[in-house]
Amino acid sequence: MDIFHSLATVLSSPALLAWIVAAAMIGMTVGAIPGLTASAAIAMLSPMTFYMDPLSALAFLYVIGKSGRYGGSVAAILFNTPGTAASAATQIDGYPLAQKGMASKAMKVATVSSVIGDFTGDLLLLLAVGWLAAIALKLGPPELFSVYFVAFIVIGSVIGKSIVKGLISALLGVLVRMIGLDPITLDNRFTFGMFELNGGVSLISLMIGIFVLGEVFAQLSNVNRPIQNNSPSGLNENRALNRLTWQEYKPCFPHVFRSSAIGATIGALPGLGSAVAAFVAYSEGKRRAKNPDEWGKGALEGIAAPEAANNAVSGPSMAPLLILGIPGTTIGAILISVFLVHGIQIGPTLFLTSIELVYNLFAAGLIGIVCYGLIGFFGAARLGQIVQKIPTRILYPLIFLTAFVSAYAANGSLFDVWVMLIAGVFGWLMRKLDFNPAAFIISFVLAGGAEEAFRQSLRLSDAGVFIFIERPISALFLLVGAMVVIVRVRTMRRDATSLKSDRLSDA
Amino acid sequence: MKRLNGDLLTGSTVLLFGAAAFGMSFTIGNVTWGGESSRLFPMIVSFALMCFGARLVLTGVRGPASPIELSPEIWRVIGLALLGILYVAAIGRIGYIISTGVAAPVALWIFGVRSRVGLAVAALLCPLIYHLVFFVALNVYPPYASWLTNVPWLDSQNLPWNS
Repeated sequence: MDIFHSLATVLSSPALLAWIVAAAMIGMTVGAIPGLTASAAIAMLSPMTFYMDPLSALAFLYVIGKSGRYGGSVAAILFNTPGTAASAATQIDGYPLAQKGMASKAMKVATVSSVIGDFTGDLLLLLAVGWLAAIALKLGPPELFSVYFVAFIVIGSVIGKSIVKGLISALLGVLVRMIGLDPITLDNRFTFGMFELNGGVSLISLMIGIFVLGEVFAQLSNVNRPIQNNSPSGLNENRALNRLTWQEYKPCFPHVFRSSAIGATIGALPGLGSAVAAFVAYSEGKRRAKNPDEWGKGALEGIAAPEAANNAVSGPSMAPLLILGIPGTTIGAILISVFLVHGIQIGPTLFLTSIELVYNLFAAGLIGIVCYGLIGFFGAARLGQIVQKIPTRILYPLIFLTAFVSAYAANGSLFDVWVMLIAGVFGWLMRKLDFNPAAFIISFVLAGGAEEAFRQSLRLSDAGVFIFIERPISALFLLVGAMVVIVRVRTMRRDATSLKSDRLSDA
Repeated sequence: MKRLNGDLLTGSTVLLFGAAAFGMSFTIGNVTWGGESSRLFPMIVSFALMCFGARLVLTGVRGPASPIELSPEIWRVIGLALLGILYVAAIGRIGYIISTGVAAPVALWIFGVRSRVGLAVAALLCPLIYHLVFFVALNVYPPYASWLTNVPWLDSQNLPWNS
């Protein structure tokens, strides 16, 4: 019943509603611009939210994340360029529909499916979060460390082309987190005698550098390529052809519900994210479809399945974040810093100390879904027209300049701006060399808690590191981590072998 | 367009970085607090980094893996990074407004904007808008301009209409 009370609280606050509507619009716009992601927008805007009340700040960023995931479909359908990695699967059937002059219909299917997927994910979160928090309260330091360890393994090994590079990215994130004074003994670690590093590296600067400045550097090579509207009929389409009827959407329902379940499950696992969910849902949908031959040529179900899945990730990804302090996505990592800035300690005790805030945030998320659903259903085509007119050669220099002032505003420190600049170059190099920036940032966030749990476990133990194997739940998590790596290695080897045999047969 | 063996190059860099971090871990104080030292976790992480770096080097040595392409765009990236360095250095010396007034048109120029009017407008509007949003509306304390502080002729008290 808490959620109804929270919905009433949010709906009766005009200022909060205004922030939610603004977030829905910003997220959609940012998601629709190829190359810009919701993570980048949130990283850049988060210093401004430090001056807002905690609920408005968190709701604003949370809804940007939600609508940004959906906004990616606009670029995928209209420009044949996915606005986000998660919408790449939508492009497979969305763009062929746009070519047939039915871009608006494709976007309506994407909107309805995203809204259903997002609602399903949020409802599952609401049903399970209290129960999960009660279990999390019973975990001791060894179990917690094992959960962190699995998170590092999953985040480092599952996303990206190379397991080794993914794990290196995660380890680098952990190592950068070690900079500063040791929280227990106050020993200097990797500070090089610099006073500014005693408090560690600022998360906000690091994120603005990696996600915003790194992206600006990466976009320099694309700057002379304007966003193309490849749709032959553009956006001036036949209205009758683009009307979405109940009969047309009815076959999409089974796909939407299955994909929502897939997305919600993947969302609850740290590190996998919406791109993985969208592609798993697409391939599963195609496998079970009554019309598999039409998939890839403009099937409405081919848009509904990935869109429902990538948005269903949003709610459940908050579960490990709020309950254990383990961010499953980069957006979650940024939200952690906002929680901390407002003096809110996340973890299982959050449900004892700030339960009202948590449910108000969930309520804001639900209202955010309605907002981006309405804006998307009636205005996605118009948004596409606007995005097409944005000159990237003006947009990216402005983002470049905003990154500097945002990094400064977070702590009022020029040192943080230097950190952001270094992180920007590092982020660009990571992208260029196929490393995993998301694994780097998430591991940076996780490392503090992981080290604390590791050291507490050793203090509890008479058997040293064997405490992690002696405790059954901890051992189970470690086993899961090992299995994830084994499965991933086997999958990659199988893919490499099939690619080699395909090449041989082609020759 | 030059091509380098990416795995060998990045693997060696990671290996060296891990080795340096591992070596530096020994300089961290070895105060134990209930049995474990503050250098333990960094040592484990940097050792793991060395191992994965060595694995990447091995991949690079064994086969022609993932070449890095040095495209002409790299010079634009280096140019923008240099602008970033000069911009931050300038903010600390001559303050935010003047530095942004110079950096904005240069950034636009690097991204291919050649309109003189556009560049001039950016030089005027960017510092104004950012100043109003961050330093006026959000009340962020502006950066300290070391060269323009304690300059007698810039002190408002010494201006003719204030004397």
